[in-house]
Amino acid sequence: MAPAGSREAVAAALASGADVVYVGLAGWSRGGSLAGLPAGELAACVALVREAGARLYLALNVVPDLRALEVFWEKLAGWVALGVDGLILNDYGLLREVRRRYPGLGLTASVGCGALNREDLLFLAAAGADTVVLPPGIAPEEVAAVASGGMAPAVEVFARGVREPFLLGRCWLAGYLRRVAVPREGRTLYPGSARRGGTCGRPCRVPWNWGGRAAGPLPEEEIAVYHHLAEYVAAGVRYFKIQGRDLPPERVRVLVEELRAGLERLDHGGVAYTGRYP
Amino acid sequence: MHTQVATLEEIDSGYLEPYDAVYLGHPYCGRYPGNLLADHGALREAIRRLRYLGKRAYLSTPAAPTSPELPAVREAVAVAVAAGIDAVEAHNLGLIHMLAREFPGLELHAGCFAGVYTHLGALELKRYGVTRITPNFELSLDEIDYLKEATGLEVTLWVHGKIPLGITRDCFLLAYGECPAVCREDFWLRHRDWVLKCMGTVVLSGPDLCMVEHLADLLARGYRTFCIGTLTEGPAYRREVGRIYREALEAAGRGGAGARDLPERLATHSPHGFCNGYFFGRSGRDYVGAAVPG
Repeated sequence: MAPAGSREAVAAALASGADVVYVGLAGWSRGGSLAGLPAGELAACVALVREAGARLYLALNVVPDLRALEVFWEKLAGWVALGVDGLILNDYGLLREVRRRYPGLGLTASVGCGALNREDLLFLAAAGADTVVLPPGIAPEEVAAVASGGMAPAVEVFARGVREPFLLGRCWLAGYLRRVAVPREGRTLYPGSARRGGTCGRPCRVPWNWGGRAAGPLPEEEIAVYHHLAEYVAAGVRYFKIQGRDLPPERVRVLVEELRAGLERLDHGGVAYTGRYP
Repeated sequence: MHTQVATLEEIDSGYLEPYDAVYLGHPYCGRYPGNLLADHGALREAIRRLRYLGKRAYLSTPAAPTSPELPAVREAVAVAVAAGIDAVEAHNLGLIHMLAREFPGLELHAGCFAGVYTHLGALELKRYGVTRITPNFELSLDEIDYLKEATGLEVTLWVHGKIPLGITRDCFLLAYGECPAVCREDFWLRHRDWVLKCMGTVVLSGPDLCMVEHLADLLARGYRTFCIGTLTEGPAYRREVGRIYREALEAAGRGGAGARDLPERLATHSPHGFCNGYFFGRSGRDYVGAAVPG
């Protein structure tokens, strides 16, 4: 699953072998306008993936204004009508309602749902998810503990991404430090909060003074598991994802090519990998 | 009005006198010394003491448990249930799923890291027997009003204390000292005028959330369950802040405003000042005092 923040990035992902491309929409996806397409671009992106025989998922991973959910449902009906294949959601309450309204749509529980253990998967599956994303940097043995035991949704992990200081979906530091409320299209957005329609601005990465003992950002780590794909598959991973809807198309192309090459090495190495998105 | 206690040694009648109920255990670190979640004998004794004091006893559970940690949580809950716990608080969706299945009839509360942002999410938790929720701190009071009305669930409002802002899988403090001593020190993160408190696996606001000037409004909106967050504080803070809020709540319940000096009295326990959290739709670190923002 490859990220794209523009029509050009969608094309780059497809050209380099992505099975699924995920895009965001400005105001409805984490990352704000940097990583979200203008709504008018969605139809063109759907057409590109159709032509390539691939799929398009829409990352609606901000929590909509709970007092203006009708705006969300109205918009969603339009996006589904354009032909998106699935959604990435990070509110478990929305999962159930979207599943009820659109039983045929692929539904992925975003990493923001906070799944860490086997019971989390069962909870999210009961709510309607057919795929659950685990946090960046999770080790194969941890995946095995989560994915063991049969009946559960498919497990997706980040092949490349950033292990941020806090568990994704379990941090609201940005809105604590700087947030303003902005009315837009019948609802309220909070541009200082990634989960509420804006971008977090990464206040964790400023040079903090650590109790007078050191200075520097909160720790984070770039992760890439291309050389461990077989271990993840053996642990029960069905899908691999690349983080970064804000990446330029050329970077998307390189990252997808790397992952595709890694998956092909799996095939040549005799590892049975049949991950195809629902 | 309830508060939090991580260890048996903190359960003392004098220090808990202002509270009706106590959440037991440290949800952010399994290695915290004396954590009631890890010491079953102490947990039984803690519940017994709270019973003796006439207070309700709730068990808090790990906020971000991995699969291998689930059996230990199940065991701690079984011990607490046998000892007569009144409810169990879970921040983790998987734990809610597991506890509903394995302890049918057990009263469940959803904690502040359960990610309750929408009434649809709250209703999902209600399916599992959750009766009380702590809405995500990012919600405004108006949004919480809506959530309460739409779900019929009991809502906990944090009215005082340092706001938990993020949890991590690894302890930030291990680079700066020995576990377990290092997180018993006050460890502050600073950048310009931003101050945060770091406890290793959880980062909290530096200033204390303070809603003492808004209690009458909160009562008028129908809220009856209030939390004073004291997990990272000493016993004197727990007692003194609790007493001030008890006094303020009783005054607000009678229709009065309470003594004018309440914020000043509270300020002596808050070296980094106050904030109002996200209740008024602003940045969580802002403090508006008694003024109600328009």
